[in-house]
Amino acid sequence: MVMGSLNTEVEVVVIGSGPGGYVAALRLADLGKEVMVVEERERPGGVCLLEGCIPSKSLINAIELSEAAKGAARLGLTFTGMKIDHVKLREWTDGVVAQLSGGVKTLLQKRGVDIVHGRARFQDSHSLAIEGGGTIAFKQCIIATGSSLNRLPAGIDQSVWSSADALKLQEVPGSLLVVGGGYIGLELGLVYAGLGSEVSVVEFFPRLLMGADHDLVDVMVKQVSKRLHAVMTDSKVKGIEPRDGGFDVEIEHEGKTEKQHYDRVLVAIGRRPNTDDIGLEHTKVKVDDKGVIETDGECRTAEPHIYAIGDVSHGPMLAHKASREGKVAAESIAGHKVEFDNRAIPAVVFTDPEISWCGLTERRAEELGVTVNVGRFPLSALGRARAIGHTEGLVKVLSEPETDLILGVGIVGPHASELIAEGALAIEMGATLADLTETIHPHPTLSEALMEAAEMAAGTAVHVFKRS
Amino acid sequence: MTQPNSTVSGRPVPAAPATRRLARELGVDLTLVPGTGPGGRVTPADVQAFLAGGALNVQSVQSATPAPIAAAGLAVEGTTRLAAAASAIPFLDLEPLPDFSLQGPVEVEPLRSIRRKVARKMVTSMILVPHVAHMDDADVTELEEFRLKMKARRDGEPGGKLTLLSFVIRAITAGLRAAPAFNASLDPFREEIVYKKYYNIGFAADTGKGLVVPVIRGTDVKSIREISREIEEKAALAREGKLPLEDMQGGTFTITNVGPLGGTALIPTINYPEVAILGMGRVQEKPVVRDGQIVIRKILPLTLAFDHRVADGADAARFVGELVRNLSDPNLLLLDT
Ligand SMILES: Cc1cc2nc3c(=O)[nH]c(=O)nc-3n(C[C@H](O)[C@H](O)[C@H](O)COP(=O)(O)OP(=O)(O)OC[C@H]3O[C@@H](n4cnc5c(N)ncnc54)[C@H](O)[C@@H]3O)c2cc1C
Repeated sequence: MVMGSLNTEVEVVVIGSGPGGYVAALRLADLGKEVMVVEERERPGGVCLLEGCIPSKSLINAIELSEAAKGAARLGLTFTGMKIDHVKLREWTDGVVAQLSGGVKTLLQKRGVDIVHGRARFQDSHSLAIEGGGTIAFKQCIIATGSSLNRLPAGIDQSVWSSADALKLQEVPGSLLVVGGGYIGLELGLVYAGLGSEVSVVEFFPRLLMGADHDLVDVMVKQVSKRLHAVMTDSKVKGIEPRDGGFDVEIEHEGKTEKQHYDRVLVAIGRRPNTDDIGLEHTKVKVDDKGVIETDGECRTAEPHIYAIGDVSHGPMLAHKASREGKVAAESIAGHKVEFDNRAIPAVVFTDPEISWCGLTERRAEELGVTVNVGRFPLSALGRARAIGHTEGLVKVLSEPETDLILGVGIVGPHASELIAEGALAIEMGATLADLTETIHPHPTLSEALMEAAEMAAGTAVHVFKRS
Repeated sequence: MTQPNSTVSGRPVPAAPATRRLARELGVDLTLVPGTGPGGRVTPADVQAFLAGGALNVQSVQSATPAPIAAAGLAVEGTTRLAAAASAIPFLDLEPLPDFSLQGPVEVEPLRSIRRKVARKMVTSMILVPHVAHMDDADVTELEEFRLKMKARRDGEPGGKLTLLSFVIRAITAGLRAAPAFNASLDPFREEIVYKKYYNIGFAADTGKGLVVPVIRGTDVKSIREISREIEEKAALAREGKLPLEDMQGGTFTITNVGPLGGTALIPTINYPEVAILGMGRVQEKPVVRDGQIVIRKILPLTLAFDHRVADGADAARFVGELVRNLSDPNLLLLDT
């Protein structure tokens, strides 16, 4: 790692080493470009690796194991004396993160990519000032600074937890209020519920996971409600006051305000792109009022030699979207004809059961006024789901009525996160229902559900009861 | 986010990522390409066909596809526009052909194999290369006399046929050495002219199944008799369809000799990426004026079609003039070449 204080000139500089930035840097290096990465954190990997996707999935895995063990009694398996040592679990998670972050660092170094440690700000449209000294002049630049937690409204105590705090697993509070019923809040809420906290979730909107289809969310909510103390929708947090080492929280629901005490409060109310304090005013890069950088299909900003990828640009704030954009930007810089023209960015919620979807949702189809053909297949009709004792869930396939083209896939159930990849491939390939139904899916697996859902849409299903 | 490649209805054109990449690299607008796959899916072949101005081609495949095709409407109404967009040549009006069977009985034969290859080569050559034809007559009276005498002596031996073509190949090779522009290729992408220092002369052979051009290599170091023998062998193999591929490749100049079949003059199409082609008409006895006297001479009409990007009219006049001189005097031909 190159430390601060340097004045240097480089072909391409990448700001941020998250899944957007580091992938772009690696690809650029492979394409023969001279690349430098500026990262303000001590370790590379970004939010995803250090305090997002990776540590959260590591914790969720542990909780799922313990829940599975608890639920195994009906199969004749009893585990006695099981306890969760959260310190050990924290160490395990830290180890996973350290390994992966080290891996990213090695990958960058092996390709001769210099990592400059420090915070970068644009001085003008061709150079960056690095906090702590030094400037970097560049021919091209990729902004991959990611996002951070939305600033809390005034009147709310700042000592509440962010998702990053929650992931540190410093303690297991007796009670925890999760503010925000999006995927981050739900995933972390379930982790703490699994660790033994009494967890409540409060959501401003009438439903949890606003972006997802109701039928999928309903299945999940029904299951997770069993583990949560309370799920309050249509509810607004009016104030959070520290008291007795915990917090008094005022929650307004249907005009009535109630005060409740919680040991800890986790706020997960959305994220804002890190574009406010990086000197964009010294460039012609355009940013909207939400802090999102405007880009074209090649991830170029209004300054054609400056690119923006990942959480700072339009679209869902997801690691795999950031990485794909990183490749597009890198190849565009190398002069390839590329475009971020993906039709299916899979969204995954690692609750228990998991939810995933990609392409068109029923909600969106309704908004657009598009008629779609929907084939649904319940996991209760699937051999493998029965065998593993997880029949709560469904897979659905949305297709275009005239052509049978697959437009969307939605899944709720075990391993939904893995199963969605086939849906994404189908949509990207322009596959039709027949392509799915006539592909042999291994039996007995959950993957058969996708084939069956396509059969339902095509009207050729055999594994369901039919009225004669 | 932008929603690229979407059709009027808003839904993106069904095409696999690799197909989309191909279209992007070739600069083809996917929304204009009629898809022949299930559900109107655009295949890599559709993109290629479209680019080749093959809207016609795609059209026929489409009419053979019974499934309702989302893009079909677009394709039918917009074929002309599509073709124009594909080629970007103003006034080029590619329309689907009318249904001839409405006028009377027809028989349809798919374009295959040699015919299709010839079609591709010729269209490429005609569209890409600014052709100019330069014509002249060679008085081959003496050469024919010499040739027939030699032929009578060598009859029955391999290469003994000693056709006029083998003498012309010899004379052309000498001409190419003196005028390298006619033994070159223009690379339009690198903007370079490549002069070849080897002499491989192809001759157009009619095989019954279509045109094949066997190549005789190193004609600058072969005797007329060797050349004659190779012509015999390769023409025979080509007629049997047994000519190895490498014997049809690597040519630097082509001669087409339709004379024996008749014809007073012809304008051949350059065998792209070569620079020039020589067409030989029929040798005929003609009354010509020599020293103020009308005499009967054997006349061989010649046409050199050449690439005007590489050579000019004056170059061609000199090149053909020298050829005519060499062919009119066997001594000169044998001495100087
Ligand atoms: C709890 C949690 C769980 C998540 N789970 C998932 C998941 O399961 N799946 C998924 O796809 N996504 C998940 N995400 C989202 C995912 O982490 C982000 O979408 C992803 O990290 C975005 O990548 P990025 O490269 O755009 O930015 P980031 O990963 O945010 O990386 C940006 C980097 O830039 C650095 N930086 C910022 N400004 C500067 C500057 N001025 N100078 C130098 N360096 C700077 C930062 O330090 C950071 O390292 C999760 C997020 C959270 C918070």
